[in-house]
Amino acid sequence: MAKTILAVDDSNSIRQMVAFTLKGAGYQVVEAVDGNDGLSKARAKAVDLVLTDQNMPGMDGLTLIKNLRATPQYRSVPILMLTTESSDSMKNQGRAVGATGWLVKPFDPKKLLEVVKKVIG
Amino acid sequence: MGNRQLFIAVSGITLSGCLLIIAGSSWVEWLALAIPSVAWIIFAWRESYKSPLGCSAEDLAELNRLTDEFHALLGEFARHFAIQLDGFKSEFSQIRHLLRDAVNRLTDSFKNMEAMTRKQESLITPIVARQQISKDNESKTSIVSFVNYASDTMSNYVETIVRVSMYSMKIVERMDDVYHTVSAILTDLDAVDNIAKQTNLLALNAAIEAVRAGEAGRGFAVVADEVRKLSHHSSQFSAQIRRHVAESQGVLRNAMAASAELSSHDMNFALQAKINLQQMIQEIKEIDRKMQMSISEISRIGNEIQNYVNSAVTALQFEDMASQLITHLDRRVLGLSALLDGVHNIGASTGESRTTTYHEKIGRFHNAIFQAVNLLSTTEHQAVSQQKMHAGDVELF
Repeated sequence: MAKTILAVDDSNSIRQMVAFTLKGAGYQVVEAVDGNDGLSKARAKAVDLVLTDQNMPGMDGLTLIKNLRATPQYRSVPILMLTTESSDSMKNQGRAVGATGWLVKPFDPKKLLEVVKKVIG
Repeated sequence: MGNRQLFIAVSGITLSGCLLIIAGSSWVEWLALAIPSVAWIIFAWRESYKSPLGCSAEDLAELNRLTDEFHALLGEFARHFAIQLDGFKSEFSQIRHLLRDAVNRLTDSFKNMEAMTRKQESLITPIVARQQISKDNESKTSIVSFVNYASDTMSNYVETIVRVSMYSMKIVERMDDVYHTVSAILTDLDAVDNIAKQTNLLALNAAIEAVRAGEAGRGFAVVADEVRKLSHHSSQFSAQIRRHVAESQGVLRNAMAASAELSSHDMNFALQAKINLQQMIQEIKEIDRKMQMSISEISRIGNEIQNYVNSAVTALQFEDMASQLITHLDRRVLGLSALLDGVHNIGASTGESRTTTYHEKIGRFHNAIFQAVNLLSTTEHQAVSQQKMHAGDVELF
């Protein structure tokens, strides 16, 4: 059965491109427009991987990770940040709240797939 | 009246008093001293109407007029600047929408292009794989295998035809031998006919001699008659054989002609067919080679298109970055707007005394700067540091 990935980003084009890349490789993709929407959808349906942006209206990516990690269901589910933020301080914050990895935008579809395969197979 | 004016007035009066005391009782001398004192008092009185900066009332009025004009200009400046800032906001919003729309359309186009490429690849891949399997397993399903098989079959067929033709020629030769043998039989039958004629003649002579011998030759006459009958039968039988042999010879001649024509005709046809087929096979092999090259090329191009689509997907993410940068610029514009409000308020009239208004305006300006600095402090963190659209780093924790 195809694995499900939750893509959280306020940019419609990024969501589309992430979904396009992942669906092309056989994954199922659920899209969310910000942290709140992402949290709600993650709780509604279990996903195998969360891919989230950092800067979003409402709830940002780091807060989303904190909230997900506080949910027993998502304590060990891989969560990748996909953001324009590239500073070490932000990455350290991500590591501290429980992010599994950090991908700096713009992403290369091949590299994204490689990382996703490495993380969830 | 300010402190300075009071000091000048008091010092003038004090100086006049001192001069009066020193001058003594003479009214002329008193007058001589009183006049400068009064002049000093008048001077001090005039001084009391001057501004704190040492301006005259006219200067002060001019200064106030200029201040009002300056405030009006600041107001005008702020109004125009606000219009431009509103323009910035509106155009940023327009850029954001245009980018979003363009990128959505481009994304759809690239998605469709990629889908078509995948479909094309899915159609080509089995053909390429089949070609590869055919090459590896020497299967009879590939065009090359089919052509080779057809070529071998045709060669065998032509060889068989040639062999048959050769055998036909040999048969014609054998039939020719038989024909000559049959001719020899006919010659031999002539000899048999002669023998029969001579036997008949002998029987006739024997019959004559038997008649001449009388009673004693009666038996001999019977034998002679039988011999003559035998001779006659022999002639008939020989004629019958001659007829049958002649018929066989005719059939044999026809068969020899037909066989010779057949073997000659088939051989030419088969040899020509073999040459034609070999040419066709070469052409088919060339077509197959080119087709395989084209299929490989299409497959390679498909992979290249995939790479280009990946590159486009990477580049199209500029909309997200541009959008974030525009949001950042929006914040800067908000900060500038707050500053502008402060400038605008300098020129606003509250209906109170000028001094109070100045203090209040300066306070409002300070406040506006403080608010603007707070707003602008949010722009210190720049989320987008990328200068080019190269794929970003990947780090797994």
